[in-house]
Amino acid sequence: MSQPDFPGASRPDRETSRIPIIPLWGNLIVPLQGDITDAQAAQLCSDVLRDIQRIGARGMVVDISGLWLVDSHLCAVLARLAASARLMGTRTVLCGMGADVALTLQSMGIQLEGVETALGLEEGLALLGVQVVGGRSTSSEREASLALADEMLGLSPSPLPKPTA
Amino acid sequence: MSRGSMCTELLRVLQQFMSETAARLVLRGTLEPLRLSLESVGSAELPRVIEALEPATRHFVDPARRPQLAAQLRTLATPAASAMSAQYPAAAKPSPTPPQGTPVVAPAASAGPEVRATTYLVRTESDASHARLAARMMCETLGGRGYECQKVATAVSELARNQIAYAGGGTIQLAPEQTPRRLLRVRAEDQGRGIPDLERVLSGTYRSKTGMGLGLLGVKRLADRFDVRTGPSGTQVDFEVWL
Repeated sequence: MSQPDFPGASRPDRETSRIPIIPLWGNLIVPLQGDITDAQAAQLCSDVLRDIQRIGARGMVVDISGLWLVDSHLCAVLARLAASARLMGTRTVLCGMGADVALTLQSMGIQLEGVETALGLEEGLALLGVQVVGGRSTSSEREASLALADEMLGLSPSPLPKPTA
Repeated sequence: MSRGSMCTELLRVLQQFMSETAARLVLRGTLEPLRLSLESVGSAELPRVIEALEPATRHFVDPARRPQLAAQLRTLATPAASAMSAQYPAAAKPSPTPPQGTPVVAPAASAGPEVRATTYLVRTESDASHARLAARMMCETLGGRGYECQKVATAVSELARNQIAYAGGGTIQLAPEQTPRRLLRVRAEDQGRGIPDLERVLSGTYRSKTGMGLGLLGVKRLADRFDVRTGPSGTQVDFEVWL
């Protein structure tokens, strides 16, 4: 650290500002959120590339559904990240772009060529070959969550007539 | 209304929008962090319980029905609040959609609050971040749609980035206008050395070392009106989005 006066002061800040990189079934998931600073973006690139090498990730999904603004600089960073990952043999899928962001980037003439895109995280992972086995339908999932909620509340299975939803 | 019965009322309203289990779960999950129990909720606690219920119910209620739920919850608070308004004036907090029957405080609700031109000093990245958030908020206040607000915020972001990278900083002025048409004007000014090759930058053949070289050209493409004046003593970019 270049600041000997406050050796501990700058460190927690750096740690909390770090973007999480989640290893999942041989792939990496990188959820971007809020307002990403240039410093965070640069840190992210080096962290992701290091993690790709460390865990031997075959692919990565960068989820930008939590970003409210994507400008040309961030696109350049993402394109560079994807290109570098590709050089290492790792596929990158960008997912979760909102409609307004997509319209804006399209108007600006930003194509993000060379970066694969998917609608959401599910589709992104599917592109990377992650398959859902024994998937449930939404209605059975809903029932299961209601049953779990009942259990958490200590209610017996169905003490009251269920309201018609 | 007695304590305890208040929660019955809350549950009754919630159950119109979700299953009983979900309603109980939501209410309990809301009360716990507030350190309240089903019995201890009285009319004094009601406003903050209702405020906390709003985010808690989000996952269970169809977005289209959320305003309806909010309005119904507020009607629970209103009689109680007026009965003890001297003691608890905050209960009648103004909200974007006041319950029916309550007089609207703002005289012309459709015109929205008055928005004045504001100038932001851009020196650092956090200034730029502040400016683009302010641009988006101003655009939303003016009644801009999502895409329009996105355009304004993205343009401000690009312009501020250029100012920091090439001119050591500058100012960004956001000026709303109502007549002859509703628009938001952005004026970015700096005292840098100017853009040496503006023609090439705006023709799209330029590639910057750090980015895509699409910053200023992108702003031009987003604008409904766009103008750059640049010289050795500084640059001024005017940008308009019609709302």
